[in-house]
Amino acid sequence: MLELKLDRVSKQYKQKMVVDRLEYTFRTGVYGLLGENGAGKTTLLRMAAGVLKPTAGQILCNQCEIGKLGGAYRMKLGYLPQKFGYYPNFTVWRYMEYLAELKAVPPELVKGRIEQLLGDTGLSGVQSAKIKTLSGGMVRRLGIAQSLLNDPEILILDEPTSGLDPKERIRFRNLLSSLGRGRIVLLSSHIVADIESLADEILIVKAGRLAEAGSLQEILESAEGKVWECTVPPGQAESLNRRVGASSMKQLEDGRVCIRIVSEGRPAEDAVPVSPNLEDVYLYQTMEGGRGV
Amino acid sequence: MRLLKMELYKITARPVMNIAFFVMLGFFLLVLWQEADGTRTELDGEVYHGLEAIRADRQIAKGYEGPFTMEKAEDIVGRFGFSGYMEEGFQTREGNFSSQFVTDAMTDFLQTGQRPAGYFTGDDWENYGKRYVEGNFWFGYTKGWEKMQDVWYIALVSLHVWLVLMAAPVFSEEYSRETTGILLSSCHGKSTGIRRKVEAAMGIGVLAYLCLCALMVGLMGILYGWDGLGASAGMMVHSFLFAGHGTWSVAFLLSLQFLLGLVSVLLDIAITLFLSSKCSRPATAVTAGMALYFLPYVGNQVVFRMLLDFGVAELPWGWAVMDALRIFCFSMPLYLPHKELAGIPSRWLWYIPAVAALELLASIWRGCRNYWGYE
Repeated sequence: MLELKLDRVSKQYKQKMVVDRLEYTFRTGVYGLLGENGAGKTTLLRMAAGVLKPTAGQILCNQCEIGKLGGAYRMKLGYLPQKFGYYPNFTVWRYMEYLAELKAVPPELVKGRIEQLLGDTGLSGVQSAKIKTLSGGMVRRLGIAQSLLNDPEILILDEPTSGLDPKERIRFRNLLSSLGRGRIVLLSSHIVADIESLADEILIVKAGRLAEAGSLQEILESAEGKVWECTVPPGQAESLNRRVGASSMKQLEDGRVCIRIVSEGRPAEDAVPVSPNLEDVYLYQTMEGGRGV
Repeated sequence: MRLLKMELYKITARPVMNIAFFVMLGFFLLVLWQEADGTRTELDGEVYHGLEAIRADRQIAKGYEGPFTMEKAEDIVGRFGFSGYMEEGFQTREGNFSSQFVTDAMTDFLQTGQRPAGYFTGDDWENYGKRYVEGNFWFGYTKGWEKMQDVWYIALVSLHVWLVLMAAPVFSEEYSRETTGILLSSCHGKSTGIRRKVEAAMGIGVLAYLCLCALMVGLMGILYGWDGLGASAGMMVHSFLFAGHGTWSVAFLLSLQFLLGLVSVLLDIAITLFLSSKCSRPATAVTAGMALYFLPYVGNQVVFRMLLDFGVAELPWGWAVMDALRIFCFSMPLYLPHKELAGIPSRWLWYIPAVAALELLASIWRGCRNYWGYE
C-alpha cells in the first residue's frame, strides 16, 4: 500500500520557519489542507512534489526518501502548483503532448489519455486553441488535466478550484471524488466547502505546524462546545462581532440578527452551543490565540 | 525525439527572431555579392569589373598555380608590373590579383603605400620576401576565400548575438512563466527534460551556423570558383607565414576556422544557458549574455593595452598576467574563431582549447544543475 510520510519536515527561509517539524503519514485517500495565507501549505505541497528541498527532515515514499527515488517518485506524481505557468503560444493539445512526454506516458497511450482528460475537464472543444486565448477557469482546468496525465498514484493539487466558477467547481469535485480511490490526493484550498465535500481527512495548518488533523467527524469534535449562536438586536450583534468576532451573521425578518460565534467560553448570556461545521473549526483553529499551535 | 522537437519548437516559436535570422543571412550574402561585384582588374590594358574581373583574375592566376618561385614572381612583374593605388588617397588598386599578391608579399608597398620600384632588399628580403619563393609556398586564386573570411567573421559575430537572444530564455523563461513547478516534478523533468533543452539550444546553434557557412561557401564557390582552396593560407593572411602556419592550405585553414566557429557557437550557447539558469528573467539573461560575449574585446583591446602602457610586462609576473588575460580572451566565443588566433604565440595554443573545453563543460554542467535545483 502506498505511503507518503512527512518525517519532521521543516523549511526555513532565512529567519522565517515556514514549515516546522511537520510529521504526518498519508495513505490512499483524499487529504484536504486548510490554513491561512502564509501558513505553509504551498511550501509543504512543493516539498511533497519534490520541487523544494526540506531544510530539515525528510519525505519518504514507501520508506524511501523522495530525493533518492528521483524519477521513480516523480513518475508516480501529478502536481498542480498554486501558480500554474504555461506557454501562451502552445495549443492545448501541444501542451498536453509536451507534458505527457515529460511525464513518461507511453506514446501509444498519449492520444487516448489526452482526449479523455480534455473531455473530463470540458476542454475538448478548445484543444486546437492557443492557451493564451483561454479564460482563467479554462486554464485552471487545463492545469488539472495535465496533473492527471500520467494517472498518478500521488496527486498534489494546490488551490485547484481557485478561479473556477461554481459549475466548474462541481465538475471538478465529481472528477476528484472518482479519482480519490486507490491513490493519495493532497488538496489545498481556501474554499472550505470543497475540502468538506472531498477530503477523507483534513489537516489544518497553522504557522507551519499541524494544528489539527483527522476525519471530518474528528475535526468537528475538536470544536465541540466552542460554537455558539444567539439572536440579538443589531446593535448588540455589532458589539459582539467587534468583541469576539462572528463566524456568520444573518439578518432575520423581525430585524434582529442571528449571530454565530466561535469562542472558548459563552460569548453572551443568551448564546446557546450549536454543532460546529468545518468553517467553525477552521476559524477556531486559526484564530488569534486559538488552540491551534 | 518528440521531447527534443517540443523544445526546438519552444525556442523557435518566435517569428520575429526567425525573420531576423533570414534577414541577417540575406544581408551577408548580399555583402558577399557586392564584394564580388566591386572587383576590378586589369589585363592587357583592358579594365574588367565584377564577375568578368573575377574570371580574368582566375585565368591569370591559373597560369601560375602551384609552388611559387622567383621565376613566376618575375614573370608576373614582367607582364603586369608592380601594383600601386590608382590615385593618391584612393584605395583602389592597379593591376590584377597576381600582381597585387607579388607587390604585397615581396615589396615594401604595405608599409609605404607607394608603388614600389623593386623587391625587398637586404634583411627585409631574407626575413619576408624570400619566404614566398622557398618552394613550399603554393600559389592560387584565393581572393574569394579572403573576402569570405572577413565577411564570415562579422556574420558570425551577428549570429552570436542572435544566438544569445535565442538561448537566453531557455531556462529563465521557465522561471519567469512559473512553469518549473510542473516541469521539475515530472518524471523526466530533472533528467531528459533538461538534456533536451540543452540539445535543442545547441542544435539550433549548430543548424544556424552550418546554414550560414554553407550558404557563404556556396555563394563564394559560385562567384569566385573553387580554385585556391589548395593554395597556401599565407596568400590570404601574410602574418600566417611568419607564425609558421603560412603553408597550411586555404582549405585546411578555412576548415579549422569553421571548426573553431562551431566550437565558439557551442561555447556561446553553453555560457548563455548558464546565465539563463541564473537569471529569473530572459531580459536579464540576454543582457548578461551580450555583456559576457563582448567582454573579451574589452580585455584584449583595452585592458591588455592598458597593462602594456603601465609597464606590467616589465614586472617579473607581468607577462604571466598578460598571457592569462589573452588566453582567457582567445578561449571565449568572440575571439576563438578569429584569424588572429593563428598569429598568437604557439606556447599558448594548448591552453586555449583546454580553457575553452573547460568553460564549455562547466557552463553546461552548472547551468543544468542550477535549473535542476531551482526552487
